[in-house]
Amino acid sequence: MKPFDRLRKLFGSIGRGEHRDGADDGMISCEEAKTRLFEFLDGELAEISHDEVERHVELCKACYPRLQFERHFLDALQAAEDRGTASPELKDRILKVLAKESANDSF
Amino acid sequence: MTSENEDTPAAAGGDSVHRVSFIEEAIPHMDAVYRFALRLTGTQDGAEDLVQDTFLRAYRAWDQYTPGTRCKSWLFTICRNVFLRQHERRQRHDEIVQETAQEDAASLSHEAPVFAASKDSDPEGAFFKSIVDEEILEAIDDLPNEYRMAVILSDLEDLSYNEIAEIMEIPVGTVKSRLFRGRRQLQKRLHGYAVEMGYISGTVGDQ
Ligand SMILES: [Zn+2]
Repeated sequence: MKPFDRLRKLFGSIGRGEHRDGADDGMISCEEAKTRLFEFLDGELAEISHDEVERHVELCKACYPRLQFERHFLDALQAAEDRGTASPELKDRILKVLAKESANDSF
Repeated sequence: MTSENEDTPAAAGGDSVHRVSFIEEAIPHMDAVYRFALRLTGTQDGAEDLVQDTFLRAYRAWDQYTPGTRCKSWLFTICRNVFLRQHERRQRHDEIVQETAQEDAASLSHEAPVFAASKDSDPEGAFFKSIVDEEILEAIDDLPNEYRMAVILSDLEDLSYNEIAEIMEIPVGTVKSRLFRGRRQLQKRLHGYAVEMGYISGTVGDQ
């Protein structure tokens, strides 16, 4: 799953520190953080890269809302997914088709 | 199933093993395939036909399925292929996608025009929460095919970039660029909707 919950916790306590644009403390730049933001939220970054982004957004006043923005967007998509299921009739129909197919296959 | 076995001559032979393993491994994913099909076709009837075709095709190809790999991804691949074959005549959108998909995913991911547009009134995008599900799904449905596919697989079905790459038969870099472009396009539309509905102040349009 995507690391939203962990982030949410994290940002409850810290978050709006000083905006430090770039390289002190070896922090990645805003540009760098922005570039990796989706991959970060999708849980697709390698550990080191993930930690770099995490550390940046924790401390950067400019990137924090950006992260929140993307997160609210992705949450809304996930929440919109209807948990629709195939009807029992469809399941029946398909099982019958498969049974027929088996019958045909073996003479 | 017992009664079916008795009715079906094939079930007595070696074929029943084939069928039983298919029923055990593939059939449980029918709901997920149905949801995917529903988003692709937009109608319940269309989705049901697509699901049936998908499972029939999958059943015929069951020998080619590698046990232990993700069955769900495998079924999605078939579902997508069947869908595309049925809709070959409606591929205009894809041509547009082909032209733009070359761009570097990284350069796409950080341009967020909607974020910039709503920065003053709603910097953290809380307005997304006010938008009704139907509007969101409709916006997804209206995306060009290949963006739509990437967004559905990632953001609704929660598959990884690698899985999506396999299903769509494209490199991971292309998955990213299509996904990110699709998301930006969605944001733009949802932002427009939110402004229209008065959830947020601002102007519609204007990238
Ligand atoms: Zn920053």
